[in-house]
Formats: sequence, structure tokens, C-alpha cells
Amino acid sequence: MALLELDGVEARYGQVVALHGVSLTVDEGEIVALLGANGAGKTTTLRSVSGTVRKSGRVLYAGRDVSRRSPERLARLGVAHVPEGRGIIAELTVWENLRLGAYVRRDGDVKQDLERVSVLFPWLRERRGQQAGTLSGGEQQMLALARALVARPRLLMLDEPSLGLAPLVVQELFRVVRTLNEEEGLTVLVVEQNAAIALEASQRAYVLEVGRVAVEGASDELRRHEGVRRSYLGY
Amino acid sequence: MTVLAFTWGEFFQQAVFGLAIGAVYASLALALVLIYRTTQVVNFAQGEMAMFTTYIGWSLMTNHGFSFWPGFFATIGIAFVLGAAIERVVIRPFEGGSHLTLILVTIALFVVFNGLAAWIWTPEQRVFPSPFSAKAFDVGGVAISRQDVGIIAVTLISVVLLWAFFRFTKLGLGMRAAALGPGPSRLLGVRVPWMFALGWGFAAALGAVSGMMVAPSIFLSPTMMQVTLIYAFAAAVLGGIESPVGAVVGGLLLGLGTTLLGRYVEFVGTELELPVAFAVLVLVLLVRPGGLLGRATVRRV
Repeated sequence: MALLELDGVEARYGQVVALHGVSLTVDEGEIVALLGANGAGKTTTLRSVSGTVRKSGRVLYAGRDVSRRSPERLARLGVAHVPEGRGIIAELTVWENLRLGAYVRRDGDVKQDLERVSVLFPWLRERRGQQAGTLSGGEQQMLALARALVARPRLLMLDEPSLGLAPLVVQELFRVVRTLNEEEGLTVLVVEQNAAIALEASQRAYVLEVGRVAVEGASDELRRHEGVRRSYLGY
Repeated sequence: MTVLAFTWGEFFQQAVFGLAIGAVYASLALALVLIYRTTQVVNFAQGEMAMFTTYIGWSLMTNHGFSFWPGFFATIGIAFVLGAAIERVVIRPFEGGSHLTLILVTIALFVVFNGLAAWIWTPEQRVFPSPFSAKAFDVGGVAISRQDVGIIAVTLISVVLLWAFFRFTKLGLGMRAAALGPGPSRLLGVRVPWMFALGWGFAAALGAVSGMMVAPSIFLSPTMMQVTLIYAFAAAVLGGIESPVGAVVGGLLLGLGTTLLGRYVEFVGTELELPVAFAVLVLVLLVRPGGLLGRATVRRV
């Protein structure tokens, strides 16, 4: 069953049209990658889901139309959007950023989830009192991921998690995402410029070109797809 | 003017008196910092809002049968709602506009509250009841005013409560996050616009505390908070306009400093307290442009 469905979504920034009617689906329990060059509309697609850009068209989440919902509301419905640039609040401590992840939680199991992410990323506990802005880029990305997980989302949206990070750190990040997907059935929509790693981690993928879906299919097939290989994998 | 002989007893009295005045500056300065940090607005109406709510408190206590403390807490509640409402109705439409526009809006609020207070309660000076007895504590032969000690205690309690709220509660964390990173906070489910309104609410409540604490010693009038606001601005800037701790320290230092200067430095006297205080302030800012406790945030990209 589709957890997320975009139907003819158009978005613009002032006069500049960023999306010309994007349609895509993400099924429950899937990792879906969104590929494309700079300016293809990948980030705008995520923003149209989380309600941080003006749009027309329909966005269905868990069977209901959420096109007009505010970002706050979507967060409460279980959509965790880790934005471009990670959205870490630099002046707060590591632990405060994590607690902020639980802001939408109403139940009392937050401690358990903080415990869980501390197991995934053991350094979080040791450096809980450190100002988050002083972490390295990779650590900030892991903190952003951990913070999103504390919210116990149904849909996790990651915007370019690999940006500016060392290859080993990128692998570690995707390993964690895949583990969560396999063990807990976490649904993930990930935007990436690093097509190789995204296609490896995902089950299906969409390739955006100037605000439209150009290619879609199973990630394995896209890896062998002539055009995708040349344009995005570089061999 | 002749300076009386120095005694430690009198020095101690003066210091407590100075700290009490400083506590009033501190709470108003903290209110300014709170609003500046949540909405980046320099609120010129902070003093007038405090004055207006103090009038409401006076009205509750003298015309509506409230005794002091119930009236005090009811006034704080009213001030909170008033502050939040001002943010939602008056400030919200100009959010993201230029600083100049917002400054004009708060100056308009200043004029409105000043005019309203004079219109509703007349500009005549009134006596505000004090919760503290006029007697003094006897500390080793030195008489310390209960009024002064009471002001210091009430201010410190409200500051500590506010600090604990921001530090330990989920809502407090949400408010800090909303101020520091509104965009990411929304994605985490924080209702950012409401957090801004709450920030104004808390600031107005603190202002009401400062107004009701200072009113018994200076009489109630529509202009009562104007000089205090100037000192509060100075205290906020002295502490580093972004730093709540700085605002409190700045306020206490300013109160203590001006009182001791006026008393012990012969040429200053009461008349020159304000100019001399500002000369010192300018000097401090020359040496530390960020204020005493203003600090640069470390950021890595």
C-alpha cells in the first residue's frame, strides 16, 4: 500500500517553476531514491511533501490528502524531514537537539527511543552536553538522523545526506538507514546526488529532470539503464 | 554637597538599595532580551506595557477587592495574555519586515499604552500598595529595608522560574528552538508562531513583575517606567543583547553602580547618575562590543 503518493504536484519560487507536475509513490516499508542533477527539483519535491513550499496538485499520506497541511502538522502525523543542511540547531546541545526530536511525541516511551539511538550512535551519549554547532559535518548528519528517529516517524525523508561527507561516513549512514528499513520496516524517501550509493541502498528510484520525472523503476534496473548510467553514475 | 563619613553599615544599606533598583532594571531588561531573541524586535513599548499592567494590578487591588498577592498573580496572568495577543495581532503582520518598521510599530504601541493609561486612569499619581512592611531587618546593627530585600527576592524567584522553564520543560525547549532555528523547528513539529506569541507573553509578565515591584516606591503614573526602560535597555546592551544572564547581571550592576556613584562620588549626586552611568556603559562597549556576556556562537558548516 502506498504510504505516500504525489499526484501532479507543481511548485514554483516566484516566477521560477521548480516542479512541473511530479507524480510518484512510496510504498510502506520501501526505500525510494530521488535522483537528479542540481536544480532538477529533488529538494522541492521533499518540501512539497512536508508543506514548506507553495504548491498545487495532490499529496496523499497514509490515505489522506495532506496538501494543505502545515509542516508542524505533518511532523505530528509522522513525517520526519531531515532538510538540506541537516537543520541542526547549532546553539543547542547534542542532547537538546535529540530531545527536540521527541517534541511531537505524546507517549512516555521517549527515554527508550533516546536509548535506542544512543546504541546506534554511541558517541551521542558521551557528547550529549556539547554544543551541536561544534560537531563535524558527519556527526551533525548522524545527529540529524538520530533526531528524526526519536520522533518515531512512519516516513523518513532525507535530503542529500551524503553532501560534503567522507565516503566512509556516507556508507555508515546508509548502513544505518538500511538496517532500520530491514529490521523495523521504516519507510524512507531519500534525495541524493550520489546516485551510486542511493541506487545500492534503495529498492526503487525516480530520476528527476527539470522538474519532471524522467525515469523510474527498480533500483537494480536503473543501475543498468544506459541513460542513467551515463548521466548519473559516470561510466 | 558634603559627603558624610563612610561607614560600612551605610554602604551595605546603599548596596541593598542599589541591588533592589537593579533587580527592577534586570527584570525589564530580561523582558527586552526575551522579545529580541524570539522575534528580533527591539520593543520600545516594554516599559509602557509594564506600566499599563501595573495599573491593571492597582485597579484589581484597590477597586476590585483583591489583596496584594492574588492581585499580583492575576495581573501576571493578564499581562501574559496581553503580551501574547499583542504579538499575534500587532507584530505578526509585520514579521520579517524591516527592523525600522518594527521599531515604529513598537513606538506606536508605546504611545497607545501611554495614552490609554492616562485616559482610563487619569495622569494623576497614585499610591501603589506594597506587600512588604515598611519596617527594616536588623542585620548586625544595620537597618536593611524589607521592601528592598523583598524586591530582590521576588525578582530573583521569577528569573529562576523562567530559567528553569526554558531549561527543563519541553515547551521551553520548543521556544528556544523556535527562536534559534524557526525553519528546522517547524519540521520537528514545533508550532513556531505560537512560540513567538508565548515569548511576548513571558516578556509582558516579567514587565508586570518589574512594574509592580517598583510602583510602591515611586508612585503609579503613566510615565513611571520611562526612565526604568532606558536603564533596562542599557542593562540589556551591557549584558550583551542576546544573553538573558547578561541582562540580569547588567541590570544588577547598573542599579548597584548608579546608586553607589550617586552616593559616594561627590560631583555625581542624584542628578548626574544617568549620564555617568551611560558614560561607563559606552566605555564598557568600547572595550567589549558584544557586551559583558555576549558571546559569539561557534558554528561549523
